[in-house]
Amino acid sequence: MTEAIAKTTPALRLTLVLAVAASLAGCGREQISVYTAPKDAPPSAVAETDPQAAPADAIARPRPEVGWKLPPGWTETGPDAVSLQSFSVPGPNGQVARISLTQLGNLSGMNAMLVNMWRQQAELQPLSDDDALKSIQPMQFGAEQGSYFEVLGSNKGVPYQILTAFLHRPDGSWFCKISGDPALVTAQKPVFIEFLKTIEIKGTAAAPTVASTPAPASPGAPNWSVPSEWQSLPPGDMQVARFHVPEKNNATAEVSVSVFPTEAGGTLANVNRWRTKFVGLEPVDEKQLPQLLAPLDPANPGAVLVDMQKDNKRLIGAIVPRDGSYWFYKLVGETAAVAPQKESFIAFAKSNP
Amino acid sequence: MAKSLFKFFSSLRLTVVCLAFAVALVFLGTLAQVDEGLYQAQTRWFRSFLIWWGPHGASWRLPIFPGGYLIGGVLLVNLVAAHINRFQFTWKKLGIHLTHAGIILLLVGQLTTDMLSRESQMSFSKGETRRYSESLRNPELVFLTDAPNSTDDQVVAIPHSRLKPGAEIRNDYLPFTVRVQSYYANSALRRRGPMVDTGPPPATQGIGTEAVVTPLPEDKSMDDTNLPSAVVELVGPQGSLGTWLVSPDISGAQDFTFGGKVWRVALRPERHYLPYTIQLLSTKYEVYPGTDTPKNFQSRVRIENPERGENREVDIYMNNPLRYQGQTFYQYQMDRVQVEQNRGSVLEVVRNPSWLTPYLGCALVGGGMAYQFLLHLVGFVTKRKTARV
Repeated sequence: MTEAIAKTTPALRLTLVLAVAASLAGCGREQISVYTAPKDAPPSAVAETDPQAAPADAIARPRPEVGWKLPPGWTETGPDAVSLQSFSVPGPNGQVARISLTQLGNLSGMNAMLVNMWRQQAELQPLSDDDALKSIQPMQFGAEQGSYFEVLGSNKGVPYQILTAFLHRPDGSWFCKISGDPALVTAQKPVFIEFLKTIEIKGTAAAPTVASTPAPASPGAPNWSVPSEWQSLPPGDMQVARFHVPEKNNATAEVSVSVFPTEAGGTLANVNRWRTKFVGLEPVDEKQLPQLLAPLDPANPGAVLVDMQKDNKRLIGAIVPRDGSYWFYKLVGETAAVAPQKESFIAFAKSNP
Repeated sequence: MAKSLFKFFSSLRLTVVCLAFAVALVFLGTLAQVDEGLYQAQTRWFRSFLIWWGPHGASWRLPIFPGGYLIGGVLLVNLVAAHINRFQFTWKKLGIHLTHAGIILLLVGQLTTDMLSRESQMSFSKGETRRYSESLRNPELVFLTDAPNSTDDQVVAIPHSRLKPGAEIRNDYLPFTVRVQSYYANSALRRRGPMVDTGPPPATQGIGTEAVVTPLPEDKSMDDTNLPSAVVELVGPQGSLGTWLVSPDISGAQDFTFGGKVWRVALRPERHYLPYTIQLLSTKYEVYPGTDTPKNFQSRVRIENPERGENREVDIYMNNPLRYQGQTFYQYQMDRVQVEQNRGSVLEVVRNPSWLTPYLGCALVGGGMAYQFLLHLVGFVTKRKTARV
């Protein structure tokens, strides 16, 4: 053996070594692999139940982790269907200003629309995009540079002011606003600005994720009465709830609920969006609109109901002003599935969440 | 020709040139970490044969510098060639041979570590049992269906490196072709919102019909993870079945039926299954009194290995990893919030079959140098004594 090695030339020896090295280096690593593995257990079924544990829907739809330093005089009033947290602060003359911290889908590039949404809430005419953008100034939002604007108008004839700070991040747009009596809001402005600096958006769990399976209601979900035959589905960023209604002769339909701090473009714009996008009807003008609207609830004069249909598609929608926000309900799908649910849908839209 | 090539590869000049390039590479690669991040810089500068450069947005690139694999490879060849060329085994040169063998072992060991080692993570909540670890940086597209004659899943896992836009992927176990329409190394997903999202959805089937995908720049830092996503089209013999949006952000796999079977598709972190299970029993998070400075993270786990009939509890904590069946389990991330909210623990799972090579290499180099030094010392002392006599 030793003699055999000794007889080889150095070049041949090197070639042999290189051939071995090349064959080792050529081992493929990026191949498609096929194997059998135990099925994944549902996360909630295997994790230990603990009252201190994260919410059961944390995997499907995590609530953003966010912290803040509560200013003196402010009270935490808890999360609601839209806001991650709400606060209130009383004034010297019995007024109350409300503060909310909210995360929505990423609305970057829509700053002018945001200003006009809040102007609409303060019963002001919309500004041109240029003028709306001019009203925005930089503002520290947590550790990052956000934006800020003020709106002074009225709410049902009463003077009303809104200070809004917002921050666009890849995980969504964050809003913090204080609204109420102008004197109180103005007095609280320095406190509000300091409060903004203390907001801490922690980690990436903040992004509302997309779930392929239905998620249970989140802690801030409305406590309303849902028809028992409706099946809950995961809501989207701008939805507070979504339901699958029973099929009828293989026809399907769905109910969704969204909440906005303003009329979100107004009744005409929303009705036309529903007509064109979901049913395939032509848009209507302001004169034709009243013929399409019906009152939803005598106890809430502003609440309206629309019912539209074309061919096999039908949409029943309700716009309900409630507690300073606008609730948009929509039952949409194939006519055979929508029709039997109309009464349940109206009762659902009328119920106070 | 062969002789001149051999002479070139065994020359000392080549050694010097390679060492000079290696010094420059370490300097440039270290600087590159500022912009590229540690992981990306390591991959681009050290785990490559050539460093490529091209203007931003251009489709062409030029090699501008030899990469770590090339320099290390040439140095290895040079060392082996020089050793073969001057191979004369005598006891006097044993130390030199040992030293060279040690350096060769170090170079080969680094190469095999790069090729064979694997880092992954195992994250679980208290009470949860895991039989696999996950590579968060390496997503895989998986198709799952019920395994024949078993309650298990049959998994077809396609590595992310194959998910190039336009790629067509076929496999004997898949009755359809997978066409990759888009792949984003980092992205943000959210549901479509009324009035805001008016464009077409990214996919025609599954949850992708209700989602919006925003491509994001790839995060190259070591601390943050990217959220990949892809849109894939499945094509059967009768034509397209539709497109699906897949992402680890979509919890659970998306179902569809094809060929009488229910299939599930998902993009998830690459999984490495173990022949045993690990259950997280409890966690401990300790700080130094009066501070928030962590003192100890600790996970108590139970290992169940039916092959060995083993069922025992083990504590894994900082600087006290568990070494078990070729894997090393280190205590990884844990923070106070995680513990308070019972989020569990994360273990770093490292498999490195060649972990001994640096120790052996250094021992050989040290032993060889010591032998050579002592040989000269003994010879010198003997010669001196002889001269005195």
